[in-house]
Amino acid sequence: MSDVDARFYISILLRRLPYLVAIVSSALALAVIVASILPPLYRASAKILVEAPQIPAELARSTVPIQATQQLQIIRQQITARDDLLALARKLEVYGTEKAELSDQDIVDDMRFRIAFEEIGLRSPYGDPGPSVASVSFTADDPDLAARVVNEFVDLILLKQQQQRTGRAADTVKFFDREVGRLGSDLNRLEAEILRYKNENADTLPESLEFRRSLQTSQQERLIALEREESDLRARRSNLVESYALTGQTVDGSVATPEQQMLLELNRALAEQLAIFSENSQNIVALRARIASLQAALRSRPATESPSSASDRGERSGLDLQLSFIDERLRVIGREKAAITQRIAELTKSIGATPNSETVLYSLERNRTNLQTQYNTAIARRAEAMIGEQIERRADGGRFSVLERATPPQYPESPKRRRIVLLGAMGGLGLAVALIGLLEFFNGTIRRPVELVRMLDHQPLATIPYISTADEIRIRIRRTVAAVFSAAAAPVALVAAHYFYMPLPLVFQNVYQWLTALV
Amino acid sequence: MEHRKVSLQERCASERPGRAGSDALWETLPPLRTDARVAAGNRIVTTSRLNPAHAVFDMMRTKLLQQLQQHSWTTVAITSPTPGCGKTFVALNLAFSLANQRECRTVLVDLDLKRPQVAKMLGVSAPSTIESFLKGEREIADAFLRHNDNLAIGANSQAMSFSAELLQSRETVRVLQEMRQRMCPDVVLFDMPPMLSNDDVMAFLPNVDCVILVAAAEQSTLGEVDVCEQELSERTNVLGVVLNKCRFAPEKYGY
Repeated sequence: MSDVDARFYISILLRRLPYLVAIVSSALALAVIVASILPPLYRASAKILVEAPQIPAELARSTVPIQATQQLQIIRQQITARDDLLALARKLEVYGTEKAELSDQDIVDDMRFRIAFEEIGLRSPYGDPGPSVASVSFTADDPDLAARVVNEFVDLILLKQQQQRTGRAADTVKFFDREVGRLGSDLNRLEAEILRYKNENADTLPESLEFRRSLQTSQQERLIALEREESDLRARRSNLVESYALTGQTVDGSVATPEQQMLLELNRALAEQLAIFSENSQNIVALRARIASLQAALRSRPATESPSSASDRGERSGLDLQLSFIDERLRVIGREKAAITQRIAELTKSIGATPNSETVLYSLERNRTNLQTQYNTAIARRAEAMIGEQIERRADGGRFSVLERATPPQYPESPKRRRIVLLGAMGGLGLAVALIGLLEFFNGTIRRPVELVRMLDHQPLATIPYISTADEIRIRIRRTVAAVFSAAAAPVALVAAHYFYMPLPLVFQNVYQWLTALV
Repeated sequence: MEHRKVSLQERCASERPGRAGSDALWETLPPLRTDARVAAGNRIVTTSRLNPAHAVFDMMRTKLLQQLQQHSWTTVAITSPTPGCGKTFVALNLAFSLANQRECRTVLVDLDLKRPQVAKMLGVSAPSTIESFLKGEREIADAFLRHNDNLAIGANSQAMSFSAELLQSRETVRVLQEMRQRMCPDVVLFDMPPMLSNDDVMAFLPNVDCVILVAAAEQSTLGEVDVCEQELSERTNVLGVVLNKCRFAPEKYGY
């Protein structure tokens, strides 16, 4: 764009100056009126410091590991929930008399629009999120109301935060309580089962295995001893019978009566049996009965009878006595052997069943060990959770504190009258320029010789400038003077009215009220 | 047209001695008494030369004369697309500018019969109507006024409605032919009505050698000028387009 073009556009602008002035001044006037009519709005704000946990996490872990800023976000959503906002509006009478006309949705929307949360993060140089400051502000047409609403919000935020953290901590503790209870009852049940099993399978328990094995061995030894005695007795009997057949005499003469000898024998057997069997076992009882009956027989027999017996009869009866004694003895041994054999069979069976019950018992024991481990862990966790709860209760784990409560603002925050006026002026200017541009765009008339050249491809024959006559010049001067005067008169009149009649904002407001009353 | 050109050339060549004869006729023309104030009020700048804008007309005059000489043309019609573009203003200023050229005889005829302006702009009471002159009812001396020795102005005082028909009539052609022969002018300027308003210009075009189209800045559109220019160039020679009332001159005129 050359200098000539610039001059051309400026000349166009100058020629359209009346449009420009008219539009800009009317827009400006409108802006001024709007700025003076708009009711003042006050914005109160409070600051909340959001701190990181105060007790280091390595020492005692808080059970609510959520970031403080995140928490703030959550709380923000919570307190801007519909019901909370409605309750707050009702409590503080934010909408006063208008309330009847507004629906709940309108109130909620308006409240949300008027609340502002702002977060100023104080970044620490190490990159971890440091403490940050959040500001809560509220706009209202009454400064006191704005401050009250903000303070209410602050209280609500602090309350919610406390509730949230302690609630979470208590939940954690409760969870571990339940866990511990469940594991404890499981453990009890399992132990009872183990006991029952042990009672039921007392014979095959692995812990008595060694004892049973030694018992089995001793029984077998006893069996062998009995067999040996039996064979001895049989040999002696056949000896006796043989020698009696050969000599007709007993081998050892009559040392004692057979009853006495048998009593001795029985007493020895009793002593032996007592070493193995218990006092009230079958064998012992039988032995004692026999001893008792023998003793009774001995006592009742007259002492004179034995020396008076004849020698032959005495020899004969001596052999019989010995033989009957041996037979009796053999019978006893036979019974004993049968008892021992049965006993050994029982022991063998019990030893054979032991691995089976051992396996069952081991699996039960293993379960119990597992449960015990879980139980111990749960107990430890519960202890940690309780510490965490304590931390939360004492509000040491990342907390909010009020830096500055809201005070009623002294000056209205909006309308920014200057900005509105400036915007009005700018808008008017833009509108005027746009209008002029549009006018020029749709203006098909020739303005410059250049346009003719563009169309005809050659220079015009002549370009005659506009020739003004003296009258025209005079009229133009007069018109300019009149315009300047009238343009100056309007502000002067307004200023005069402002100072001598009534302040202009008041005038505008009166006019506005009058107009609204009219409508 | 070719034929006429030749005849014109012949005439001018042959009538060089006749120029002395026409002097007598010029002498008989009544002098033009312009009202200086009215003329100034109507933007006649070439008489007094006080306004620097006269330089533009002088330049235009020189270009015009050169063109006419080059092609041996005499008659020039001045028209515009729409009324109010300044045809009469251009015609008068051009005429006075030509008059300053001593050895050049100029005749200006107001052919805007529906709205005659020349007399009004000069502030003279026209002696007669051009209508009667064109009908052959009046003598040249009754129809024209003389400014200095070399400018004759045929002003008009009465509007008439059947102008196109008159302009096409044989009598008009004959009268104008006779006028040219008797007065022996170097340049004949016809102040014509606007082109797009009526058919007067179309009717009269065969009688002229060339045309000047006057366009008014911020009044005539490019479309109008384009239409007129095309139409004119189909029928006759277009000397050029004059852009009048230009408030934005690309360069300052004058010294």
